Formats: sequence, C-alpha cells, structure tokens
Amino acid sequence: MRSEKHILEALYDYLSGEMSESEKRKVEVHLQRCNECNAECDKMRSTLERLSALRYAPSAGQSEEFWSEFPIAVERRIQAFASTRERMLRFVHWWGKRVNGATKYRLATAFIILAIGTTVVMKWNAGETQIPSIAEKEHNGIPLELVDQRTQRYFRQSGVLMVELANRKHYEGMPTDLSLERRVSRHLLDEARFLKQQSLTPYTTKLMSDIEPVLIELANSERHSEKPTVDLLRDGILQGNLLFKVRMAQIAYDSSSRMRIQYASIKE
Amino acid sequence: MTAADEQHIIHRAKTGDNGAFRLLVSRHMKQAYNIAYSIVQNHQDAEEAAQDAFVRAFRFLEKFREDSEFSTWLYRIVVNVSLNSVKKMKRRTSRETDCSHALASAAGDDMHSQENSDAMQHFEKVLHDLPTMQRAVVILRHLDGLSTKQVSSILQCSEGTVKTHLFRGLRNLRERLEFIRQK
Repeated sequence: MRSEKHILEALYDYLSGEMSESEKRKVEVHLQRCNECNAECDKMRSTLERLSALRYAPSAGQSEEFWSEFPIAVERRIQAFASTRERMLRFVHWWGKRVNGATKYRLATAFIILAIGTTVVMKWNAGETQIPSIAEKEHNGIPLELVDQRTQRYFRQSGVLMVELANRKHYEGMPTDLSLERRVSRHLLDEARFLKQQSLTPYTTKLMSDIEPVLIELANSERHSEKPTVDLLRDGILQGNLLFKVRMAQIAYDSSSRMRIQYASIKE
Repeated sequence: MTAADEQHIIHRAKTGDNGAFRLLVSRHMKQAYNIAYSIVQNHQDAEEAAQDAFVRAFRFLEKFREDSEFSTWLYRIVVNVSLNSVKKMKRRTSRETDCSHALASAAGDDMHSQENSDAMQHFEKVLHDLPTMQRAVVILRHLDGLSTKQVSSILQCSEGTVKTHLFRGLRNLRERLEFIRQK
C-alpha cells in the first residue's frame, strides 16, 4: 500500500469482501491513520450501497408473451441458418460433382481478371475526376470552381455540425460545452455571407437561409449551455429536416462539380 | 434445475435434441437478455443480440468443452455479440438511448419517496452513461451478482483488468453523481 492507487484499489477489494483476513486488517490499520483513504472508503461504500439498492431487470420490462415467443424465435433463426447452410452445402456438392477440375480453374481465373479489371477501371475513373480545370469565371472574377468548392465545404461542415448537435449527449444537470460548435457556427455564418454574394442556385440560397437561424442561435448561445438551449437547437434541425436537405445538397454539389470537370476535360 | 440436470440437457442438445436446447434457452434467456441490454442499452438490439447469441451457441455447442459452466460460456457469447452490435451501431449512428425502462428500479415502490425515486433515476442514468466496458463490468459484478472471476471469464480478461474497470467505473459513477448533487 505504498502508492495512492494501490490503496484505492485495495479499498474496492476490502469493501467487496474479496480480501484475506490479514490484508483486511492491514487496510483497517491504514484507514485509522489516513483520513483521505477513510473518506474515500466511505464514498465508495455509499456508491456500492446505492448499487445494491437497484433492482436490475430490463427483462422485467418485457411481457410474458415475449418470453414465451423467445425460444420459438431462436428456433426459427436456427432453422433459417440450417437451411442456408444446407443450400450452400448442396451448391458445393453440385460444384464438386458437375464442374470438372479445368473448368474450376478457368472460372476462378475469369473471376480474378474481372475483379482486377473492375478495380483498375474504378481507379482510372477516380483519377479522371482529379483533372484540374477552371474553365469558367464568375461575373465578379471569382472562379466558379472555387465557389463550388466553398459551397461544398460549407454544406459538409454544416452537416457535421448538425449531426454533432443532434447526437450530443446531455447529462441531467450538467451544462454542455458548446465552445467549439459556437466557433464553427460563426465561421459558417461568415462563409454563408460570402457565398450569398455569388450566383448560387435558388435552392442553395434558400437552404442557406434555412440553416442560418440555427447557426445564429448557436453563435449567440452560452459557452456552457443548459439542456433547453441544446434541445432548441436540436428541434430547429429536426423540424426543418435540415440534415436530410444538407446531405442532398452535398450530393448534388459533388455530382455537379464532377460533371463539370468531366465536361471541361472533354472540351480540352 | 441442478448442475447435473443441466449437464444432462447439454449432452442431449449436443446430440441434436432441439427440445433440450429449447430448455437451455428458456433457462438462460432472461439473464442473457439482461447482459445484452447492459451493453447495447435498448430493447430491440438486446433482443437481437440475445437471440443471435443463442443461435451461435447452438452452432458451436459441440465445441463447448464443459470445463467451465454453460452459463459462463453462453454469457461470453452474449457479451461478444453485444459488443459487436455496439460497434456496428456506432458506425451507423450514435443515437440517443432511452434508458427510462432500463432498470426496474425502486421507482414504483411505495416505500420510497418521490425524491428518492428521482435520485435513483439519476443514478440509473449516470450508470448507463458510463463507458461500455465499465458499465458492463459494474452491472455484471454488482447488479447481476456475478463474481469477479466469472466476469473475467465472460469478458475474457484477467481479474485485475476487471477490478481496474470496476474501480474506474465506480469512481466515474460517484464523481458524476457528486457533480449533479453540487449543481
């Protein structure tokens, strides 16, 4: 019991009764001398007592009918598994019987060539989309591709922010730290202000205006917010169906920029 | 059912007796469900994990060497399936869980005042917000009443690791409760 950690861990063993009598006596002697460990011991004892007062039975939340159906459901799943296995065994048997050695090798080779071919084509296509091309210019001199990229980034960051907010856990009575989210929302508001000055599609402008109230609310929230503020933000996101809309906008921007790049590369 | 009876049933199940396996399912389903729930934290996934664990147990029953208790072997499968389910869930989405029905607490007990029941609900909520392993270890050891050795066998780790998770879990639990009380 030289280090504090050792004493604390020994306290758990002591309280849960998983300790020999001689070790128990050593702990008791230590507890009489050390106020800190004594206090810690009391706290841990109270936590363990509270735990023992709980009646843990999630299974009690299910009906009698559920439990009478349970073994039947298991049996059904076992049967489904058995029939799948049987079908597979039948196929393996058929494969071994009907397909001779040379055909097996031919089919395996064809499959490997097909897999390699597909991979190569996919890589080639991916490489094609990386061709840099700034073919068109906006009326105020900002390349359209740059506007596209920033809009894409805006929607991506908004999406991440809203998913984070929607899934944020809130401990009852504990304030939620929103300092990072506030910073991101301010940056996104600036970005939206810039993008709205460019020529965007009406849908994009409308979506940005829909997201704006959530971002403003977040930017003006307290650094450590209480549950109602988090709930309010969450409601704003859910009621406006913003996560879905942002995801759709992201997809639309991804595909439109890819199409434009491909079109520009064909022209070149 | 005595240990000998269970052994006899296991032997019958190993020879392909479906009725015997059904008896094993009936005997262990509630505990398997509770363990799965302690990890996945919602009824739907707990049901899925518990059923999946029984299907796996059936598939691999021949490999059960009987050097440990059947329950320990089965609950190890339940824990593994549930942890995999949690991983999948995390990948899919980190969703909010409603643990209002998680524990059949003393809330409905006439002996307890409303204040006590609120405090107990806080306690349950904090317990369910612990990291997965700490929560599983605390529940298995202190709420399911398994020994440290059994827990270590189910989770396939040393008793020392179980004690470390227990210690951290209990300290986390206490600190979070103290924070709430101060607020």
